[in-house]
Amino acid sequence: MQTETTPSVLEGQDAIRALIRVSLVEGLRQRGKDEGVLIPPEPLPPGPVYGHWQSVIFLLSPIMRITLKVFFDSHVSRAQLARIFHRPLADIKDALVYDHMRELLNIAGGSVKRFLEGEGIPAGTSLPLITRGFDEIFFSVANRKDSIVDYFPLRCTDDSQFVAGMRVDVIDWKGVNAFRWNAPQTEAGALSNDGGMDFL
Amino acid sequence: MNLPVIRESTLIQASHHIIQWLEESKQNVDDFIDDSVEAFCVVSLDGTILRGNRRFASLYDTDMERVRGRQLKEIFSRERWRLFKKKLQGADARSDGTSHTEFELAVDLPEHATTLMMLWSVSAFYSGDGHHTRFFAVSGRDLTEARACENRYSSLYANIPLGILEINADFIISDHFSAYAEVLLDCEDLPGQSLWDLLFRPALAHLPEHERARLGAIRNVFGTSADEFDLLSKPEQLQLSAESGGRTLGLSLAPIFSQGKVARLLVILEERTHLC
Repeated sequence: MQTETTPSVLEGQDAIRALIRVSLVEGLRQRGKDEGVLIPPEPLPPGPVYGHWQSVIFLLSPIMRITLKVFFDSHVSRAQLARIFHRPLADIKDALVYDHMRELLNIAGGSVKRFLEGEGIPAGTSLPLITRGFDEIFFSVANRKDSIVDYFPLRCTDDSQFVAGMRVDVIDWKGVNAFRWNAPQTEAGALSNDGGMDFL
Repeated sequence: MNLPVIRESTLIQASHHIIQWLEESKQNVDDFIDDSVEAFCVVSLDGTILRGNRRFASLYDTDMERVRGRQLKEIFSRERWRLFKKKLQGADARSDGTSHTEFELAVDLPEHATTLMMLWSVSAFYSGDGHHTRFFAVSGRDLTEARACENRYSSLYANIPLGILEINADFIISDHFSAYAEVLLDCEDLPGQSLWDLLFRPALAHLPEHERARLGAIRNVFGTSADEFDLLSKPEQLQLSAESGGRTLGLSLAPIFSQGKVARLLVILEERTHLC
């Protein structure tokens, strides 16, 4: 159970990472009707292909370009939808699974966009796209100096897992470094998997 | 009417449509790979499966989603996996700039108590991350049935007590002949030899005149149609001289057509000496 305490102010890259992590966690909680979604402490499964599928959305602002992804296997999302709709697995068609995962990214992307715009940073989002997790081989970027990359697992109450990813291509480092976010502090470990911060 | 708003809205709609179209287009291409009759997968250097199509996943008795993360070595015996791994490493290290290698190697499926003979093709490629991370595209074609067929034919050709061989219009013997043909013709190096010289010419001397004409008519079968071939009078038995073994051989000729004309002959010889 989460409790709200004194918010912490994060800055720069930490703020962006935290905002995106929270947006994706909240997106999955909302879409999956599961308040117990969290970032588990254990490390990521081996990559770079974290799921058979990935849902992708793109946000553009004057200071950065953000790519949000969630990797998934359709049988996991299908089970989630079967639980939500109280339907047998066979009733959950592929199209519904893909729409479900697109909507998850819509929610997360919309949340990031709303916050950016609330801070006076205009932002636009793309349509969410479904593609193969395998494509990550060709699109993954590691250690580019103008990119911030973060991949993390998301675990649901029923122990099913997704992997979320973000890549921020910085356009204006000054703007990024000036970025502030009042992150809500939750119970330790609720959103963390790297041990670096209490909640992120 | 706010034209700039309408224009922007239309642009956004057009962009959305093209994204949907691209998504479907890509899915169509992925479906081709997924539904291929050949097993296909992508692995890392340590043999971790990053993607496998339906046929490949069936080797693991699972589906495409669940085969990801499994190890390629699970379907090979330890010795065969050592060989496969060497081929993976070799595909990457080729100095001629190519990165493709092809080889046959059996797959062990203990749950099915079976072994599949596969023709594997391995090629290396690099990721898009600028770090030159190596991956391998692996495809496998099941040769089991084809090999079984070959073995059946080989067994037939090796064991049947008939001389079966194939000749062209010049009476030259091809690579396809039964083991017993070497016995009947008393020759151990048949391919490239002339059957006319080996068999028909020596037999001519021992044939009565009307049979000689029939034997000579064999030369005219090439280029005939099926009807014409059937009408030609062909010898059914050959007598070989004492110098050639003094044997009597039964003879059957079966035409092999190309574009409706006799291009080659299947010659079947049978030992009949004991019957005379």
